[in-house]
Amino acid sequence: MEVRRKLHWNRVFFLEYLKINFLTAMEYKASFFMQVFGMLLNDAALLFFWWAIFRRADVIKGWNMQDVFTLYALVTVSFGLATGIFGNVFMIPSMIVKGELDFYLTLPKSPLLHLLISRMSFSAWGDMLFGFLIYIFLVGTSLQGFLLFFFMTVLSALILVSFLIALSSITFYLESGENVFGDVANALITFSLYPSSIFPSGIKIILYTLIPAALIGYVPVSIVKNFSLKELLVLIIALVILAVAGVMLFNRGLKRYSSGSVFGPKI
Amino acid sequence: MKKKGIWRYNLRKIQKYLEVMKISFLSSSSYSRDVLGSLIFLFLILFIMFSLWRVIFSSNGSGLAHFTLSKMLWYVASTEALMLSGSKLRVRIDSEIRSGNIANFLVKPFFYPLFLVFDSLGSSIFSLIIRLPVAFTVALFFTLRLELTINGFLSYVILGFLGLVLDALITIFIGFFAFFIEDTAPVYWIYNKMLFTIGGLLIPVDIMPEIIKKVSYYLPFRFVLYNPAISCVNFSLNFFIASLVGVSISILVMLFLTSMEFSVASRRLSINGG
Repeated sequence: MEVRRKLHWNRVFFLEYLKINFLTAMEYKASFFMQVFGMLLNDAALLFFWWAIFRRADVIKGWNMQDVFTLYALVTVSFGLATGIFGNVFMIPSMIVKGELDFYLTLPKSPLLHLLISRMSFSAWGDMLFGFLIYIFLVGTSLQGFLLFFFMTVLSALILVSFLIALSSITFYLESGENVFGDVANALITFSLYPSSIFPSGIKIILYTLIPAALIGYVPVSIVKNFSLKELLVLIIALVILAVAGVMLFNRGLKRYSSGSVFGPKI
Repeated sequence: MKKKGIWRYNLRKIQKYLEVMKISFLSSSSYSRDVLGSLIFLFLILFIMFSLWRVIFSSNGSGLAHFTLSKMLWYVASTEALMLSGSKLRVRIDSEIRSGNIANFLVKPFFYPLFLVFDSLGSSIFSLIIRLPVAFTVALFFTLRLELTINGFLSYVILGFLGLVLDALITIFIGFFAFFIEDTAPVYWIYNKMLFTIGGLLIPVDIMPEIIKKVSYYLPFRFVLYNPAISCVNFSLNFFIASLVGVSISILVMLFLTSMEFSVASRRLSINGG
């Protein structure tokens, strides 16, 4: 009963923050729409690269242009969902280093949830819009296919957020954790946008474990292309492991957190 | 005597900007961890490009538009080294304009756009000195071939330097948009993607469709990355001279446009009372 009540209030809290973030975005309409439109063009340029590549080769180790479009649609929507809703996910290490968690620790809500949702990336909505447009106009087949695609983007976004929470927790222990986070996160995003088949098998093992780009891009795409319950189960198990590890590492790391004597307003 | 005085005056004027460049160069050297991070990214992107092009070349036989696999990777190494050494001034200009700190520069004996160009060049030159040997070493490691001649290297250094000047001017031009619009980041993303596509960051313009080649030919973006990199891996005197003329004209045009923009913008600033 207690757990159910807690879940209900966390859901209310989450939806309320989402609403406030949107209202904030609407206060800066010009900036919001410029960022969305700018990101749309930015992402489109990435497809230009693949269009030029596929003029020279019909298939790249089992991947055709349609598959690459699906990969881009899925990763951009997933990245957009992750940073559009949990806008602070890439900022956690720098906030830990700068001692900016105090605000969240003094309030009764879960510091991790509060921290994640208290910011929204404007450009993330450009990523999402781009991904959906690409899927609908260049890939889409049926309503059923679209629903599966959307479900996989949500799963992929949750895996991304969980992995980044776990990764950011090393900042509690390592002085250079912020840099390690930046390097690994950068590698994760970069690798997830290329077909896995071009890499040697040794690298593929890393892409399924240490830098799980495969779980964010290739495996969800494979499920969208040819539904496989086995692959779906692998993703769900990976999500549960990463989410539990992320929350545990963060909460344990919080015990080592200290902010020194940082002063600053929080409005 | 009078002539000598003018020379000395002009020399002192140039010297102060060179001093700005020197300070920026030295201060960049203290951010060694940032450089290491971008070296990891450089290795990563070259590895991905090598993996990708290896697959494409294996299905395309001998080569693509006079490029071999090793030349392609040396080309990407050359463009990436320049790209990662490009100007990082946009965010700073944006915040200086928004916070009003720009007023501190307006009272100093500097022409602000030129101050920014030399400041940007200092850090870009430091970055290139660190990144270029790494980029070439990684290219050599993957290809096991040295696709570099002395002429090619010298032309790359000259055109690359001028490319960085052009990049700094375009970045400053975009940064000054902060006088007129709320957020300059989306404009900068678009410039960045111009370099990515018609600027030839990962794919040489030569292997693109004719229409893209034409668009690229008439715009200045190719002088930042493509022309220095092509001159490096496929040196030809004619191409080098044509690039030198093209990049010089582009720099002069951008210098004129940036100065005009700044003069209009700073007038707006004084009207509003800073």
